Amino acid sequence: MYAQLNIERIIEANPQVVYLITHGNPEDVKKGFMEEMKKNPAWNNIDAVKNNHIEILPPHLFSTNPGTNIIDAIEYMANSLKATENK
Amino acid sequence: MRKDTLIVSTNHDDPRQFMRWVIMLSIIFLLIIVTFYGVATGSVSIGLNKVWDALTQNTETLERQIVWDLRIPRVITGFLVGMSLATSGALLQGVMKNPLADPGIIGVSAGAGLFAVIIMIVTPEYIAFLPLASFLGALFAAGIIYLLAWNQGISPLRIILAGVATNSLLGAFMSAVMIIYSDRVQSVLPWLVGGLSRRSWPHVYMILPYTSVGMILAIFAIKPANALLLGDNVAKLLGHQIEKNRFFLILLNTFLAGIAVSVAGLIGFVGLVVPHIIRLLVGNDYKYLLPLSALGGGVLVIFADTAARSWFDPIELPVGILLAALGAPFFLYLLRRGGISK
Repeated sequence: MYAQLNIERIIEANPQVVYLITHGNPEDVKKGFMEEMKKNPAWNNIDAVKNNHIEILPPHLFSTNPGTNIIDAIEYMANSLKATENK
Repeated sequence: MRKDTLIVSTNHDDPRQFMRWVIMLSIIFLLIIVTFYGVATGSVSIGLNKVWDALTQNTETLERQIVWDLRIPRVITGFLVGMSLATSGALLQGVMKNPLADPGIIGVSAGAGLFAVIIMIVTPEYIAFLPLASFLGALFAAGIIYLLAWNQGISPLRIILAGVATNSLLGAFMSAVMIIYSDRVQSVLPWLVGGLSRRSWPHVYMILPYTSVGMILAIFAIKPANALLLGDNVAKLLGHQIEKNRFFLILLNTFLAGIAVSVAGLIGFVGLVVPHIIRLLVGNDYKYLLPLSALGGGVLVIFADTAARSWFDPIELPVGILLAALGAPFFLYLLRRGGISK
């Protein structure tokens, strides 16, 4: 389901990391998103944006159900979360 | 002579005059109610006294963020979008002399949509240019329609036909882009239905100047729009320049529709239904129809957007869905009842 989460709930939860799935060039998309989020007062107070913890997920593992690759997907996310924690 | 003819419709002996004031006051009253509703309601429930604190004290609390940075700008954006769409629709119906005229039907929105979809799925790096692109897209579509319909002047029928053709042409391109890049289509879906999710102050600042200009120009559109209602021949005899009027109204209509699409996506229905409801209530005189449609559009979008973001917690629906679901039955009810204008 691609329904949108209510943004009031997102701000209330104050996420530490934001994950993006994109089909564009990851670095450019990340840069564009950071700029958007920093400008938008709705977003710029959550921890993930304050600490620059916006991560891009590889679309082949995350944009649709990865099937048997789901193990790779979970491992990828676990490593990424650990790396963010240690930053 | 010419003056007398025009004054007849706004004569103070007109029995509708009293009703018009009642309706104007009711709409302003409704606007105040939905504004309070929009600011006080959301999926995170905040008590009224906390809402008041959040409005008056500039502190870094969660309540302040939600009320000041989310709800208020969304209410304002909703009002501006609704106002632009309803005014745009009212003008278009006058120019086309067709009750079905709506930016979504004659292809203006499809032009904006095509440009926006290309940005969103082919070159997502340039997402910041989305508003500009959709505005240019609306202008591009209006240009095509105007050129296709031009034959020593513009006839309303030719505009409608050219518009419907343009709509399906641009719609086909849009579908083609979405099929070719079908793995990326998920990000586009909410936008196609039209929604105000994630809108905040930057969007208010972005459209406020354009909407203001559009609404001021709309004041100057009242006379030409009324003149077109008389029919081309009568209006010409009364000394109106039909083609100039029509061109001005179409340009203004595109401008207003482009503003709305640039922040809210393809919200349909407001431009079609609000002017109709107002017309059933106060009649065809644009002196009343235009300002009341503008306010009514604002009321409708604020209410529908608040409902869309708070009734379905923890997700939110794009407001376009709610607008159609709420508006269509109400519209049919008014249609069956026949209005009060007789």
